[in-house]
Order: sequence, then C-alpha cells, then structure tokens
Amino acid sequence: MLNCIEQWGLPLAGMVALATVFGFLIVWVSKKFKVEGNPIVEQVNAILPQTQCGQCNFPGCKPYAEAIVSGEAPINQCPPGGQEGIKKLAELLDVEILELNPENGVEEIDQVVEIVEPDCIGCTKCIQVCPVDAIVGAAKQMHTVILDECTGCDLCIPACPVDCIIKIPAPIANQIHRKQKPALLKTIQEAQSW
Amino acid sequence: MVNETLSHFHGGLVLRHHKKASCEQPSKPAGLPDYLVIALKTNRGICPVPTISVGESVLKGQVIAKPEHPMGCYSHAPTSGIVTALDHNPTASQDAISALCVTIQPDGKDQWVEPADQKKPNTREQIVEQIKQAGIIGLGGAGFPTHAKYLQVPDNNTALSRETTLIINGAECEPYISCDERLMLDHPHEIIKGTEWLLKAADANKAIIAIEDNIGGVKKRLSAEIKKQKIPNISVVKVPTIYPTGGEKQLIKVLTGQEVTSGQTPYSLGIIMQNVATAKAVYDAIELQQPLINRVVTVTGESIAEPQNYLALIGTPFSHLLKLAQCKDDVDKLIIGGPMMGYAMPSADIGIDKTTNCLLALPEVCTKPEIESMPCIRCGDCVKVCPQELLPQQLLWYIDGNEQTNDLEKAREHHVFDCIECGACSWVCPSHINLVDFYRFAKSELTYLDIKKAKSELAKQRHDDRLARLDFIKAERQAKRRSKTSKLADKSSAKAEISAVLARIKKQSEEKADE
Repeated sequence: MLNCIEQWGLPLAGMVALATVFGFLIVWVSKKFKVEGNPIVEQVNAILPQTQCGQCNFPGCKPYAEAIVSGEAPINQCPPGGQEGIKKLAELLDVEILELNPENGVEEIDQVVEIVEPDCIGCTKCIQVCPVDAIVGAAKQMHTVILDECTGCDLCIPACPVDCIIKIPAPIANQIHRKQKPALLKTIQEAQSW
Repeated sequence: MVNETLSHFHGGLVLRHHKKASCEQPSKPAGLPDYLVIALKTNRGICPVPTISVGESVLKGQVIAKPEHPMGCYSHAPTSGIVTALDHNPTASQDAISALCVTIQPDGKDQWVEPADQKKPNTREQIVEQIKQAGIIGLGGAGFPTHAKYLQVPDNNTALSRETTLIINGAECEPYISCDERLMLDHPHEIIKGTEWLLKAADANKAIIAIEDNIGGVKKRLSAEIKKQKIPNISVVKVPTIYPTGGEKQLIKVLTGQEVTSGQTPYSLGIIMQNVATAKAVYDAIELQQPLINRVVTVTGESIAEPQNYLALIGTPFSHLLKLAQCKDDVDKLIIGGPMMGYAMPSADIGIDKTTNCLLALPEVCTKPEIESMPCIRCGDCVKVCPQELLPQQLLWYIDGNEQTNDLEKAREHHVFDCIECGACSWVCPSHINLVDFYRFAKSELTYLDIKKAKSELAKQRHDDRLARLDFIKAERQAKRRSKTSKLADKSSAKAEISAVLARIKKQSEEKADE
C-alpha cells in the first residue's frame, strides 16, 4: 500500500496541481474574454436592414433578431430586407428559405419620406415616433426630414395629424444607377433559334 | 524610371484600326448648332452647382456652374446666348443617364466674356488653380478632374517629395477613334507647351509622350516642335499598337515595366498620366486664358459618308455633328466612344460632354451579332486576353452561374472592380457572351449594396443612440421621483416639508389680504 503511494503519489499530485492551474486559467479566460450579448443575435441583426419599421410585428430590428434566434419568429417577416435578406438569414441559421410573408408587407423600392412643409403645423408627433431621429424641428415650428438619415420606415406617416408626410424616391437613386442583370441563354436551341 | 526597351502587358488584342478615313483631313470647326445641352456632371466627377438661371443671357467663357466638392469641376458657357432650360436630360454617359443639364440658345455673336486678366502662374499651386478654374478634366475618357491629380503631389523639399514622371497619353488604341492623333498632327506646339506647364504642376523631371507605332508623321512633328522649343526633358516614345495599350495601367506597364497595384493611383509609382487633349486644354487655359469649352470629336462609322474630326463646342448635339458629316439614314446604333468600350445612345439630341471623343454611327450590318450569346464553356480564352490579369470566366461564374454559385461578394474578392471594361474578353468569347455587361452589372450592384450597408449601419447607430437617450431620460425622471418619495418616507422631514408648504400658502394668502 505504502509502496503504491510512493509510486503514484508524485504523478497524482502533479496532475491535481495541473488541473487546478488549468481550472483557474479557464475561469480567468472566460471572464477576461467574455462575449457581451448573444453573438448570433448580433449576426442576425447585422443582416436585418435596420429600418426599425416594425413591420415584422416587433418593436425594431434587434427585438426581431432576438425573436428569430430564440425561435419565436420565422425568418420571413422583414419586407425591407426582402427575399435577398431571407436568403442570407437562411444561410446563416441553416434553415429553409421561405417566401416573404405577405401579411407583413411587400418589398418596395427604396423610398424615404418628406414633409410637405407649408402644411406642417409643428406638432412634433413625427419627431417622437422617428426611430432614428431623422426629423428635426420644434413645437409650433416647421419640421423637416433629413433625407440621408431617413430609413423609409413610414412610422411618422400615421402619426401626422394633418397628413403632410409623403413618400418620395430615396436619394440613393442619384448616387448609383442600378443596372439590370443581362440575360444569358441557357441552351444552344435557344441560341440557334435567334 | 523608363526602361530603354519597352515592356508589354498581359493579353490584349490586335484589332483593325479603321482610323484612316477620319484622320486624313485636318479637324474642322463644327460651328454653332441651334442649341447646346451641357451636362454639368461628367462621369466620375461630382455635380457642380449652377450659377445661372433660366432666361439669363450668358457670354462665351462665363462660368455657369461652380463645384462645391473638391472632385467637382467648373463649367463654362461654350458660346454667348440665352439659357433656355436648366433641367434633367439624358447625357452622353453610360446608359445615357439623366442628369442636370444647362440648355443654351446661341445668339450667334459668339461674344467672349471680359477676361479676368490673370497673370501667368509662377508656382505649382497657381498652375493647378488655373487648371481648376478652366474646368479641365481628363479628356481621354475617364473624366477625372485634372487638378485633383496634382493635389496628391507633395510640396517641394519635403520628405515625401519624389522623382515624378509625367506621361502624356497619345495612344488612343481603340479602333475608329482618331481625335488624339489628329490633335497631335494639328497642334504639336500647343501640346508641347501644355506639357511644359503640366511638368511644372507635377514637379516632374521628365515627360514622355506615348504614341502608337501605327500612326505616321506624329513623332516627327512632335520631335521637331520639342527641338524648336529646346525642351530636353520631353521625349516621344512609340508603343506597339495592341488594344488596350492606351489604358492607364497598361501604358505604364509598357513604358516602365511596373504595375500599378489594385486600389492605387499611378502616383504610387511616381507617375502622373494625362491625355494629349488635356495638355492642349492646359495650354488654352494658361496661355490663351480660355476655359475648356470645346474638344475634338471623331465622327465616323460605316453610316458616315464623310468621316471627319470636328472641333466642337461642349454641348453640341450629336445630330448637328452627324449632319455635318453627312450621316446616312441606315444608322442602327449610335455609339459614343469606340466599338469596344463605347455606349449606345438612345437619341441624337444629346449633347457631347468633355469626355466624348468619338461618335460612331453603324448600320445594322455591322451591329447585328451573328449569334446570340450562349452558355459559358469555360474555355479560358478570356483569361488569356485580359489586360488586367483577371479571371473573366470565374467572375461570370459568380455573377451569373447558378443558384449555388452566385455570390457578388466572391466577384468582389476576384477584383471585379479592377476590370477596366475594355471588352477584350467579350471580343474573344466563342460563346459570344457580353461579359463586360455582367461586370458592369456586378459593379453597380455591389456599389448599391455598399451604400445600403453604410446606411443601415448609420441607422443602427442612430437607433441605438436614441434608445440610450430615452433610457437616460427615463432613469433621470425615476431618480427624481424616487428622491422625492424617499424624502416623504422619513416622518420628520415629511412633516417639515408639509409645514413649509402650509407656511408658504399662509404667507401668500396674507399678502393677498393686505392688498
């Protein structure tokens, strides 16, 4: 018995010491490099278009991202992200690609809003609902939209008591002329029939 | 810096020139058209702000638009007349994109504005400023504002200053286009003088004028002019005519053997390149005090009875030039630029801009493809000819392969943005695929996605900031309320508070009673 302790004692003690050291190391590393928040939620949120429009029935893009990750919501409830966004989400989460749910809305071309300034009464209601602070103005003063910062979420439209907010094409159309993808014939029969 | 023996770039094509017909006669003035449509935004520049209004009369050379952005350029009235419109019209650019244009009705007097009486510039900054004031942009085709090229040159005697070489690009490699060649034959004096100014602006120690080896007589004239003016540091070099040898990066490779790396400007190698027509425009601006209001345009093609180079005012409608060159009725496609890189125009009412070097009118026989495009067979012929050493077939695979392979980001990783759209790959493709169209599509779509991405990041930031602000306000209010309720929780302080309020009310009512 004593012999046994003599023979194995040192290696055992060494192992215990090593295990303790590594144990502390793991605890220290996990504290030092702790990831804030759920990284998958952040990844999903990065794919979402950040319009904060609430068409997905959640109060903003991040809550929807959290709902997707926790499995509460399907990936097809974001009209501004469109089919392309759904495809990216499906790829990230390794789930099936779905069609955009028409109940949430339809995919639209880039639009922003504009205040018809002569009609504005300065009620500040639109300023309060704008999720990205893209409307400036003060009480009883005319308000205006900062076009470059408007996401086109349309939340201000129902808030306006005098209906002076209208949709206009987004300024992005002036920055870049989007081209059509050229078509390529898929078979030689089609090409020969030309 | 320049090798004695010339190098050569990867790939390229040997094409038939089709230049002779238009290049035989000296260029003729195109005269005054009925109206001028001047596009304010040119190619890569940023749209300047118009300084005139509709109904105003303008004089020749008067500024009609001023830039606000450093990449913008001035615009001048090409002749005297009345501004009849300031609106969006199709322009002589890719897809004839609609942009802000000034329409001028000439009054026929062609009366110059009072010259500003500028002195000849002495310093580099003054030269660059005069180039900017004259609204000069690269006349070779890309239309990069000329003054912006010299802003990257550091000041003298700083640690950053380096040996700079100026290359004057006279190698218009694309078939049919002969405006640069004709300009060199007609105005060697102006080009050499302009080059001298550019040498000073670039702080360069030598200039090379690169011309193609297939054009006769140009080297002789330029060399004679250099000799006459006794400028030892300008030399004329003939380069082999292989399409696209006139491309900026290709010409640098041919002349120096060096390559401009992806995302870099030629100045990273100590090189500044300028078109010959730009050198002429610089001469006009500095020696004659004339802004850039005209340029040489080649009008040619199988539908043109008398191919010819014209000195046309900026904004001259295509139809005016076509009429002068006796265009036939059988035009199927009207192209600005050459057959390889040009853009088909939907109408002949569009005005030429500062970068329009050629009008090519082709009948149906020349434009109709023998066969429509077919699927890619991945033969790799395009790889062999690509002067930028890209993988055209692989790019197509990522842009228009199938559901699984399509990934524009992969196309970006394969440097689709380095494509110079020379069309060599499309030319050799045995499946007749218009590859460049796919790359143009990919570039526009990727740029669009980048803008969207930047926008969504900004929106996220602003939304987060807003939420943080609302939380802060809420927390502040709660803290206020809590401090009040906690005060009342303590009996004695609550009593003191109540008695203080009662005393105040009593005092107020007493004051009222006194009154």
